[in-house]
Formats: sequence, C-alpha cells, structure tokens
Amino acid sequence: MQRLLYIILYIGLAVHASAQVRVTGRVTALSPSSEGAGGGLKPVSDVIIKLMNGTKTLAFTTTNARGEYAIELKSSPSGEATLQFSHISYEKESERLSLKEQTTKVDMILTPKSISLKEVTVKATPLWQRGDTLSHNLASFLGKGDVTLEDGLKRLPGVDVAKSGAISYMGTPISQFNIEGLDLLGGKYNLATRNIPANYVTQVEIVRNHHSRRVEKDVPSNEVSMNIKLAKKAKFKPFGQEEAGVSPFPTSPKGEGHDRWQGLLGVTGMMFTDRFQTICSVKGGNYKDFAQADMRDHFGGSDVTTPATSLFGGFDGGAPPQGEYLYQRNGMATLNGIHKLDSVTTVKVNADYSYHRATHDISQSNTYLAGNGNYVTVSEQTSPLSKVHLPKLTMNYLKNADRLYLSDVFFLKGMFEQNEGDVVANGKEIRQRRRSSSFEIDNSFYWSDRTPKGTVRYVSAPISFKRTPTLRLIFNKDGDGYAQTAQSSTLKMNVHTSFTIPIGKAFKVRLPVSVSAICDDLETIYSPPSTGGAGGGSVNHIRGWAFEPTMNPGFEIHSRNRRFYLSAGLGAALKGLYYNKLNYTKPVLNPSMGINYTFSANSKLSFSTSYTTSIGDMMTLLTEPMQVDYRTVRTSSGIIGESNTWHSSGEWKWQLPMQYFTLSLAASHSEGKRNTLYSQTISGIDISSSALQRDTRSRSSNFSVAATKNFPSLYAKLGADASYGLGNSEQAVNSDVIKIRSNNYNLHGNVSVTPIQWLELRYDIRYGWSRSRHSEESNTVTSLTHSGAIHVFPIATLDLSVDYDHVRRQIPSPIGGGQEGAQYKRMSLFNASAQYKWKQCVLRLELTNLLNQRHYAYTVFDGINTYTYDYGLCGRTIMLRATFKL
Amino acid sequence: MKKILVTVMALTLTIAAQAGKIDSTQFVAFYNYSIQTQDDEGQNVTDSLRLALLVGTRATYCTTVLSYNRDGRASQEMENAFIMHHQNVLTDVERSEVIAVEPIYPHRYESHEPMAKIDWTLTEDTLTISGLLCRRATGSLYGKQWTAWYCEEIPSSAGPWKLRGLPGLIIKAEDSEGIHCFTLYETKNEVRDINMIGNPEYQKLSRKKLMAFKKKTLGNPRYAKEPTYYVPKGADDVVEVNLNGTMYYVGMNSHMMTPQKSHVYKPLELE
Repeated sequence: MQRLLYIILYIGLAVHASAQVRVTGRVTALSPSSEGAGGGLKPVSDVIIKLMNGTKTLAFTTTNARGEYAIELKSSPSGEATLQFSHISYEKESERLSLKEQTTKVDMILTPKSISLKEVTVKATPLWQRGDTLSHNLASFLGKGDVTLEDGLKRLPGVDVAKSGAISYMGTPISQFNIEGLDLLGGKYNLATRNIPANYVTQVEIVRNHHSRRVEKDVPSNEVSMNIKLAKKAKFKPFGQEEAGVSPFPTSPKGEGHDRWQGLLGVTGMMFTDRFQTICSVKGGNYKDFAQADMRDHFGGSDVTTPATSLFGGFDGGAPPQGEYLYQRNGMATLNGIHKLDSVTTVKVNADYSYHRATHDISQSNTYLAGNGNYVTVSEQTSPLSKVHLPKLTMNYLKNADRLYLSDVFFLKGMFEQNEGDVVANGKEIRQRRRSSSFEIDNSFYWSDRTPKGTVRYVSAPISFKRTPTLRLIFNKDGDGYAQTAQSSTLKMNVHTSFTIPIGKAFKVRLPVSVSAICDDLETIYSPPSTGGAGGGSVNHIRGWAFEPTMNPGFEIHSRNRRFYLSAGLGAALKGLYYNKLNYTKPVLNPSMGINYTFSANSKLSFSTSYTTSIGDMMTLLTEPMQVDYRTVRTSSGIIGESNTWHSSGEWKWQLPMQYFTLSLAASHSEGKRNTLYSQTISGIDISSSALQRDTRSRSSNFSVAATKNFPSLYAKLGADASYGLGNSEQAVNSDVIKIRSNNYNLHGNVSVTPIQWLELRYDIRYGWSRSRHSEESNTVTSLTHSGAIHVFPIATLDLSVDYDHVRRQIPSPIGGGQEGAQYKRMSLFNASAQYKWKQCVLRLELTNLLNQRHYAYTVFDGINTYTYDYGLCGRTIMLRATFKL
Repeated sequence: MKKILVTVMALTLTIAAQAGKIDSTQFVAFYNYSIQTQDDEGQNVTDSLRLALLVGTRATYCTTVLSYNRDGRASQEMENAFIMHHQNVLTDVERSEVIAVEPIYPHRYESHEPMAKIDWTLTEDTLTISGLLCRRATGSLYGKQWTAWYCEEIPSSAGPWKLRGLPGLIIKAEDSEGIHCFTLYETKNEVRDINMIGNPEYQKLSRKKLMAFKKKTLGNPRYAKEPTYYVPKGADDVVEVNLNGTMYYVGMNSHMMTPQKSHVYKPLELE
C-alpha cells in the first residue's frame, strides 16, 4: 500500500514538474570602451523581458544588476511563444521559443539605440476610453452659450438629446442615468440635465455594454448608461437655481382678444455628498412646457393605465408636433433622495406631484374607405381641454454587489383626469365630457446571487393592483344625452425564478420558470339617448383570471476570449384565460436565439431572432357595444385572437472614440399571422370597428444607418442617419378584405459648428417619404423639415440667437389624386433670444413664434384611411426670464 | 521674511545636490501626485504636487519638480510638499536598494530598504491616454492595493515613488481607496545627473521604524490642527512667517518650514 502511495506521489510530482516551464538567460550589450576591439560585453540591468503568446503577455520580468533573468510559467503554452527584450536605451529584440524543454536558456546581446525616446505630453484629453467606458471631459466640448448639462450633452460624439430630453447613444436610449455613480432619479433625469449647470460637471461617462445587475456582468449586454461626475464646487454643499420669468406685456397665446400674462417661477435645490444625494424642486407656470418637462419619465410609467382607461381614451389630441399648445399651465413638486448605506447598498425615496392643463384647437378631416372605392370624409372642429393630476411615491432598496443583487421597489401612484372635447362636426355641435380617477400600488422584489462556481440564480416577484373606480363619458348630440361608464380592477402577480449552471468554461445551462396570474374585473355600461344617459343600455361585465406558467429551458455558449456569445431558449408556456364568458387554454412554444460577436470594445455585431405567440385578452370578450367617442362604437368579436410573429433583427455598431466617429447599421424583419382581421364599417359618419374570424398575414422590414463625427478643434459635430422600411398587411372594410402595401424612407442630417470664436451655427434637415397602396389606390406623402440656429457672441457672456423651423408637408387632395393632385402646406416658426451670463445669474429674453404662425397641419395614413390634422398654435410670445444659481 | 524662506529653500536644495553622481538620466517623467484628505476643520481637500522622476540605466530618482527646477520661491506647491510628506526616493536597481529621505519637522529622516518586488497582476483592460495605449495592472505594496496603468511603448520599468516593475512606464497609479494618485503629464529627454541622496546629518531609521514614527506623530488627531504638537520646546530656533495669509513656522537651525495648520495625514505605507 505504501509503495503504491509512493508511486502515485512520484507520478504526481513528475507530471507537475513537466508542466512547469522556466526560461533563464543573461542580457548583455557591447561595452563602449571595447566596441572597436570587438571584445567585452557588459551586463544590462532593468531590461524588460516578456514572454508572449500572440499579443498576450504570459509572464514578464526584469534583469538584475548582472543582466540575469528568470521567467517561470506554471504550464507550457500551446504553440510558439516569443521572448521580447526591451530597454529604453537599446533596440528591441525578440526570440521565438517552442518551450518544449522544461528549462530553456536564452542569452541576448542588445544593440544601443541611436534614437532617443519620443517626448510625450499628456494633456487633459477631451475623451478617455477605459474598456467599455468613454469618459468625456465636458469642458472640452462646451459652447459659449451652453448653460445646462443638457446643452453640453448635445455636443458629445454619438450622443443625441431629443426635444423631450431623452438621451440616446448611437441610437440606443440610455437605460440608467447616474450622478457620481448613484441612480437618484431613474427615468426623470431631465431634473438633473436641465437644472445642473454645465460648468458644475467635469466628466460625462458613457458605459457601453452596461449591466444594471453586477451578478450578470459576464452576460453580454446592449444597454448603455451614463454617469456624470461633478466638480468640487458641486459637492458637499447645497446648491441649486431659482428661475423666474414674466412676459413684459400681455401676449395673446389664444389669439386676438385673449391677451394673457405669462409667467414662470421655480426653485430647485440639490446636494451631492459621497453618501447622500438629493434634488428637490417646485415649479409652476403657463409658459411652454416649463414645470412639465422636468417630470418626464423616460423609462415610462409616470401615468396609470388600466383596462378602463385604455378602452376609453381621452379627447386630448396630444401636443402639436411643431410649435406649442394653444395654451397650457403646468405645476410640479418633487423630492428625491438617495442614501448610500455601504459601497453596494442604497435606499431611495422619490415623491412627485405634477399638474398639467392644456387647451387645444384642432381641425380634423378624416377620410375613411367605405368600400367599393367610395370614401367618406368627416370634418370636425374640436377644442379639447384636459387637466391631469399625477401624484407618485416610490421607495427603493437596492443591494448591488458582485455576488448578490437584492432590490425591492414599492410605489403608489394616482392619475386624476378631466377632459372636455366639444366638437363641431358637419355644422352640428356635440358635447363630450370625460372624467376618470385611477390609482396603482406596486411592489417589485428581485433577488439574484452568484455562487463562487458561477451559478446564477434569481427570483423576481412583482405584484401590482390597479383600479379605476369610475370612468364616465357624457355625450350630448342634438339635445340627446347619452353616456358610457366603466370601472376596472386588476391584480397582477408574477413569480419568476431561474438558475444558470456553468458546465465547463464555455457552456451554461439556464432554467427560468415563471408563473403569471392576472385577475381582472371590468364593467362597461352604455346608457343610450332613449334613457337620457341614465343606464338601461348595453352592459359588459367580464371577470376572471389570465394565467400563464412558462418554462424557458435554454443554454449559453461563449468563446474562451468571450468575443462570441450565443444564447437560446425554448419558451414553453401554457396560456390560459378563465373568464365568466369563456375558458381557454393553449400550450405554445416561443423559441428565441441571440448571437453577439464583439470584435473589440469599439465594434460589435448582434443578431436575435424569436417566435412569439400572443393570445387575445379579455377585451375581445366585450361583445356589447361601447361608445368610445360621439361617433365611434366599439364592439369586440368575442373571438380570442391569436397572433404568431417571427421577428429577426441584426445590428452592427462600430466606433473610433479617439477619432470621435461612430457608425451603426441595423436591419430587422418581422412576419406575422393572426386568426382575426380588423374590420371597419362606415355608416353615415359613424364608424364602428370589430374583428372577423379570418387568418391574416403581415410582413415588414426595416433598415437603418447612422453616423456621427466630431471635430473638437472646430467645436463641430456632424451627424447623418437614414432609414428605409417596407411591409404589407390586410384590413377589412365592410367585410371586404383589402391588401395594403407600404414603404417609406427617411433621411436626416445635422451639423453644429463654430467657424469663428464669436459665431456658432446649427443646421438640421429631415426628409421623409411614405407611400401606401391598396387596390388601385396609391397615396404618397412627403415632408421636408429644416431647422437652424445662429448664435452670435459679441462678448463672451452675451449670446444673441435666431432659430427657425421650416416645414413643408404634403396634403394630398383630392383622394387618390396621386402626386399630380398633391398640395403642400408650408409653415415657418421663427424664434429669437438674447442671453446674458453675469456671475451667478443668466438673464434671457425669448421671443417665440415671431411670425405669429397660428396653425400647423399634417397628414397621416393608416393604410386605407387618411387623417389630416390642423393644430392651433400658441401665438407670438415674449418672455423675460432669469436663472440664479444659489 | 521672503528672504528667510529663499535662504531656507536654497540650503535645502544645496544639501540635496551635494552627494555624488551614480547615473545619468535617459529621460525624465513628470507626474501629478494628489492626495484626497481633510483639512484641519474636517473639510475634504485635494492636495497636489508635481513630481519629477529621473530615469537612468541603473537608478531612478523621484523628487519634486520644485527641487528638479531648483525653484526655491515660496508657493502653494512648496507648502503642499510639506503637508503631503513627500519622500525623495532613490531606487538603485544595481544594488537593489531604495533610499528614501523625508522631512518631518524638525528633522530629515533617511531610510534604506531592499527594493520591494511588487507581484503585479497584468489584466487585459486598456486605457488610451493622449494616444498612449496603456494597460492595467494591479499589485500590492506595503499594505496598499494599487491599480497602475502602464505603457509598453515606453520600455522602462520605472514608476513614481516606490512603484515600479511593470513592462512599461507607469502612466497612472491609484490606490484602491482613491486617496493617492500619480498621473504622468509629460516626459522629456533631458540629461541630468542622478546623485546619491542621504546626508550624515539626517536621522537614520529603518523603513518600519520610520513608518511607525509617522503613524504615531502624524497620525495623531491633533496633527492637522497643530502640526508641531510633538516637537519639544527649544528643539529649533523658530520664527513665524506670514506668507500670503498663511502662517508658517520656519526653523532657522533645521532649514525647514511647516505651516501652522496642516491636513490629515494619509499614509502611503500601511505595513
């Protein structure tokens, strides 16, 4: 037995010894004194010796005073290795080694270098790259007139800031906005970008391939996050800004004879320390979207959507695509605080309230295909008034460590709406009123951990309750009153759990299991004119459960260098609807696959494909008529719709950050099949919609390309993007099936440049073309939009600017007339401003809509119908506003 | 009063230049050295100092840019050199020895130690600084964990202070707590002598004893408010100098100066 142990030990040692590799040697150089004599060699100390395998450094060392070195490797590398010798005073040398021997001796004689080291000056560079993180020195990009962080962000390469304040990088919207590493605001980051002065920010970091959960850091990600770093003056002490503004004399936002004073007032305070951050703000005014813009949640979820509010939307026509609402009034108050308990744990509280009141003036002309090539045109004039109150309280606990992720988010929010949508249609006046109250309570729990062996497990359990106690619509037409009411309650619970087990270094098996249960109770009551709107009409009452257990076994494969990654899942689910009117169960398989190939930190190719089955919900069981607006009755078929969609998309992103260049190419294709067909029926001017039991197919493809380039020496940024889409679908009109084909393309370019120190120019051009064809008809719409701005700085602190928007949109008339019959609507909006920065104060005089343009019109197609809108715009306004840094 | 200061600094620089030449520079690398600390009232402050690293074939010498330029004019940076307890460090690669000289009022201390072998771990992370491709390495030295970015295009294993031993010049080095940071801002092909440092008049202490002494005196909570609290009365012939609103003690015997208020001591070495 003892002998056996000795043998095992001997074999073990022999195997261990044979695996080790040792390279030794001596490095010398010709001694200057003996060069001519061809003799003496002197040892060279501090020579860097690297053992390389390709570009990878396996081991390194330096020579001692005698020029000797020794490198040891625990195991012999596969293939050939290279031994490199480098020293500041000698030419670089290298030697190829096979390393088959246990000990290899390599002596080297170095040749003195004739050229000395190239001198280097490290400047505060505008851009640093560290792995996936790009750090921008914001001051290097700022223009003279820039005041807020948002102004600065617009100038960064690859960064796009939409009119709404939404930030995207290379076309991908950011998924997280951090201040000094802490996510204080979630999607309401306008509060920071529009209130933090640009000169309080030192660095803007863009993190590509961002992982919001650190336990998932080895899973490829296409997310982008942004982190801002503040200057010392913005840390450890409170600061903020106060804004006040008033129109120097009454302006007429609603037209002649409706003069109004306009004003705004706001105060924002904030403080950022290593462990605590807060931003608090109170604002109100009746000037543009002041006080509303700050509360926009770019990650969604600021309002409450319930089955009742989805069925019976408001009469609000939405904001005009150009210009401002006819008249609006906004107010908000927000308190946000985050406390860092330790390096990975935070507690966050956000409390918000916002109020929005808007008046519209919309002329609408809708042309509906009524079958047999006939069209029905309905013209109406509405002046909707909408008021919305949105209170929200969110509390969040988060632990985000390398091995453990624990999050619990609780929120309570409400939405209280009032709507007036009186209409004049074909000379008749109809009264429409809508009032609704909704609230939502939600708690989301998420736990995930990673074992030392790499197994990742998670449990997610969101639960929410939404309720609309009453939603009431009242109509009055020709003296007849009729009404529609609805109420709904929804309890939604999900439990997701999964674990990922690594098998070897390149393969992982995943087994996610989830159960989703939704309990709904929806009631709609239509009260016809015969009852004077006091009940007695058609009633829908649906209650029951939607239940869906899902199992998605799958796997992940990645290459050893982690460049290639493939993941696939089976997506097995059992979809069940158990309502008082119907019981329905169907097993489905929804496989999916994703592939990523990372060429480098700056170049990445991704592809995904999936097959999805959607089953209709309880809305399809609302078989009794419902009055959605004064002329639209909605009746569902009672048939559970089923649609199967196969979607594939690919994207390649390439960038040269140091050359300030970004390029992205994307393509996607979808094919769908559905067992019901949307059908519209026209009777007089009344429209009713339903669904026919008939298989229908649709197909769409989209291609896009986008590029940006910055020239920091010129303070210039250029951007261009283009997209093309085509597709076909089907629709029914009066039971006749119509095939629709559509295609469209869009071209967009923009440039901002500072040719000379006191002049800054911006220009943006966008051209869109879309065509829709069905039967013998073909409709084409084009639009051309330019906008530009000229900023002049007579002195460094004074910014005089003029900007304009010019729109040329096609309004086809008569129907089916094609390009020959096309009419174009042109509109120009001119604005001017003077801004003076003085110490801690910014004074700004704004002249908006200088030409007093009062209308903006545009047309959209949905395949067979044409909708033409003419929005009333807010007239010429003058505002003098001041911002004080506190 | 400025004359006194100039005399003090001139003497200091002369002492430093007295020793014999051991090498010549191949190039000189300049670094910004910063410390995140607190002032005597507990407010966060960042102290910074420019360092010159003289790189020769057998030795390197890390000193302040003020000493390198023989600039004895009173300045904020000079005050920082005292507040930050900067050590002049001579690394003699041939003898595998490091000699450090540090002024701790009212004496200068000299310590000799074997050249430390930092077991660097090279990573695949890269960072491009002013067009120089740098690679990340981590290692620990005297109880602190360091992250260093080095550039293989500059084939020298030198680095600021006692950090060295990477397959390229250290461009940036930061400790894991983010307190100490060295960042290269320039290299120059200047030929200068690298001289042996040390002086018989300096107090000789081993590295460990010097570290323990600093921990005891400079690490005392009183230190920031009263930086000379540990100095016995009469240890030096001291005059008070008001320079641009800051009060200094200037030792006429020690040829040293120290501000009357200092910053919280942040040691570079913990063990």
